Amino acid sequence: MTKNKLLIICSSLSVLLSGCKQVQKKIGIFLYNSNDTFITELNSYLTEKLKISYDYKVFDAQESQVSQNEQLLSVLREDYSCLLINTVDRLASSAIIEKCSAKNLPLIFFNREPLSEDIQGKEDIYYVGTSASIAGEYQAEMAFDLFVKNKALDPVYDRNKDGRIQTVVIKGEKGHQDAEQRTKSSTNRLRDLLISALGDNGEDRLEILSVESADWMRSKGQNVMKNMYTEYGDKIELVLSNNDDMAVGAIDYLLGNEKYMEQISSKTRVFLPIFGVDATDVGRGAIANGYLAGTVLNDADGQASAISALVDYELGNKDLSDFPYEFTDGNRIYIDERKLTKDTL
Amino acid sequence: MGFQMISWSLAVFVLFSIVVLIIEIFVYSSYANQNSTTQNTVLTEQVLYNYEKYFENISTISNQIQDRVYSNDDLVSDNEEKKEDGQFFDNIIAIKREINSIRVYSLSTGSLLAKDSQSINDSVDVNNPDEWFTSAKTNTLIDNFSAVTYSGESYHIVLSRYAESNKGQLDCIVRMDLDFTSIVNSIYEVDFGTGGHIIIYDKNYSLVYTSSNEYSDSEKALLKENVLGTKSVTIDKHDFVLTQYTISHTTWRVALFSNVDAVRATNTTFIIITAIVCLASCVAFSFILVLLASTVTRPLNDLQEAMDAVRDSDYLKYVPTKIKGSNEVEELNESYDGMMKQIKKLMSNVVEEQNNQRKSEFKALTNQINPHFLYNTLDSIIYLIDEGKNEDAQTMVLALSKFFRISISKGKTIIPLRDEIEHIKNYLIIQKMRYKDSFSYQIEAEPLCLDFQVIKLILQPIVENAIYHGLHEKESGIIRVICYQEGDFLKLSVKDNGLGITQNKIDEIRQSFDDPEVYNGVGLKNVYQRLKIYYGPKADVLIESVLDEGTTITLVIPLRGGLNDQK
Repeated sequence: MTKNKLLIICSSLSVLLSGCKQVQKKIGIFLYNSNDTFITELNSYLTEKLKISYDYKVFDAQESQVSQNEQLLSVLREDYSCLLINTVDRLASSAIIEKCSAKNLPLIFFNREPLSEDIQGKEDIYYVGTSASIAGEYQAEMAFDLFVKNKALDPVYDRNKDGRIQTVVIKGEKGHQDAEQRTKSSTNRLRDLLISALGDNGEDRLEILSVESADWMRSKGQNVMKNMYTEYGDKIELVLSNNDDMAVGAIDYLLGNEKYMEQISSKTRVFLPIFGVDATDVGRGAIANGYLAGTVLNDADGQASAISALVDYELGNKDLSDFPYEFTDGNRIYIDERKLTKDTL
Repeated sequence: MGFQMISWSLAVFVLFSIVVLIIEIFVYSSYANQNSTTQNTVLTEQVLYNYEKYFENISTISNQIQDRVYSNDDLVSDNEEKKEDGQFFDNIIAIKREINSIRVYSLSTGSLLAKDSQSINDSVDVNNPDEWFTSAKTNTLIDNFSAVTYSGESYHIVLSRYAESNKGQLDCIVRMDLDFTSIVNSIYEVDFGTGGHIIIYDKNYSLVYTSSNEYSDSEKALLKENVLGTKSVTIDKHDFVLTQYTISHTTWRVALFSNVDAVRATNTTFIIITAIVCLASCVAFSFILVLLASTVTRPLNDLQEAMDAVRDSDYLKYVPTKIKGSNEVEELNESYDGMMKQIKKLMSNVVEEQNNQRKSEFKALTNQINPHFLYNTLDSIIYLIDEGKNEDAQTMVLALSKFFRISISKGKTIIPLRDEIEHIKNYLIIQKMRYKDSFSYQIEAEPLCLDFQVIKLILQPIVENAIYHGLHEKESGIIRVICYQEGDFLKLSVKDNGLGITQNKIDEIRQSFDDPEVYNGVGLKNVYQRLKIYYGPKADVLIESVLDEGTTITLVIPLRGGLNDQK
């Protein structure tokens, strides 16, 4: 009888104690810049998922790799279990990996992909992002669908009716893998599609008027559009932007240009087709309003899910063989993207 | 106990000093280190900022070239006629002085596709390309920088970059030769202290540039150990703060070694000074403690020991001690000494008074049981019987019997005045019969006084004096005993009408009362002393005399106070 009582007390005590002792593992999240809309969105999805079972802390580097390095060094002095890193300068990844290797911390890079040579074959080092080239191809396909009707360029869009599309590209941050690859894949894909649909008339069906970088930022996108519009004016028939923020920046400029807006309303002219990537809330809003022709869903939620699943597997010491996401090159996960226009919104 | 306390206080103080010393050194050196670290950080971040600014500028230009190469069909071409004359590149070089030359090569053939006007025509052997060509081909998305080379008093680096030209139809490599001299020279303006230097290295820790003479393996090991951030290191007995950064826009990193010997030297000086101050204060403190002990603690202990000695033995054995110490202690000792002397005096007085009282009583008793008096009385009785005066003999025997009974009074010291008068009456009866009625006597007493208590046998010596000395064989002498109350006093007077005594004799007698050395045998002194012992200072013996007329002796007994009331 007394033995039973003792057992009950002991077991209830141990339950109580273990309840008290359950200290949550700490996770550090490092953002290159919290002013980036897509990064903020990704971060909120991420923290939403992580807060259930982990203690997390978010560090904002405000576009300074020096600050981010400082933040990382401070975290290494504390007891963190896993670091999620969105580097300011992706070339700094190798030093970060090297510095963290002494502590055997699992590192998950996201959004900014370390050089392949820096993470190839490294254990407990991962990258989660999107396949940049697919986003560019999707963007090209949406533009193709908009411009080509019955195997010819729609004159509503090919306003000078020269059978070519005069295009400007607003590029993301120079050197960012997404910026480079989206630009390359979208222009190449669009060119290929146009030639296969309309045939080669001896000239390039796609005329790139200008490529300029706006560092992913809406305000810079507005400036870039201003430069381009000042130089090329109505010649511009298509704007391909590497992300929604810069696209919306370009829209900001056009909406603020009274002369342009007068032309739009007086003549039966459509608003200049602008395509973005990311499908941020602002981007979706612009699509709903009809200013943004289309975007590619850069699946922030999906990336956040993959990251948090990786965290669970790493910290739970689970076998990655039944991991729900597919690995490319052993430790990289690319989340699929989706076309998003007014019809599919 | 005093010494133990001193050692304890000393131990506590020394311990306290050591703790303070350690804390102070710790706080100071951490503050000094922090200060130097902050200064160092400001310095190194400035250097890093210069580098990053340099590479950012170069990167911007590289991007512009890349964009231009991509969108302008005529800038880069394998068609000589279409190709522009390189004015675009010349403009860039004119604005950006750190760019020496810009050349664009075909990725596939290695042939030169475009160049600035100053550069010579050359080509790359694609089967055996240089490092800059290979790295740009491998890392297509970034600017690649070569290690720093030194020639003709200037430093150079090469930037190589993969680019697509003509809307992505032609893959090419852009090469820019850059002058690194200004950035190298800017380092010499920064003071890193003796042996301080800067190292730029790539991610494989291969040297890109060092401001020092050599890049040793031990240095490389230090860099590999720290990777990033700040660390204190020692090289050849010099203290350095090593700071490592990544350089944005490049895969390079930079390490800065700042000499902080000065900080250590300051630390050492501070520690030595603090230690000396602490040691000095320890010595000073122990000196003060010893001083305190000798002036206060020890004299107090001595005083306490003297007091303990008195408590444990006899007050009368008190010997004054001379204690040396501070003023307070010496004053305390003096007061104590005075107090002890007073106690000793009072104690001696009490003892002496008690002794005197016993002596007086003994004396009084022995006076009364004077054998001559008894023999003479018995002789007188025999004589009366022989003469056939039986009645007289009977009276005398009765009187003698009563006389002795009252004398003894069952050992009591105090008796009612009534009994004392009875006693003196019997004495007078006996003496009158002995001296054949040569004198007469009268006894008068206020009835109210008869119940007052008096010490016994106090009148008899006075009356005896009156008979022997006052009357002295004078015919028809009269002795009067008068007892009355006057105020707070009971007065017992014995008067004779004898010869009287001179004033000189009276003064002599009075003087003998208070002089313990003189004893004149008159018995008056004994009476006087007994009165004083019992009734205190208010009691007195008055002597009045007129020559040839007589003498009056009056005993003055206070009715209140004295031993009488206490018993």
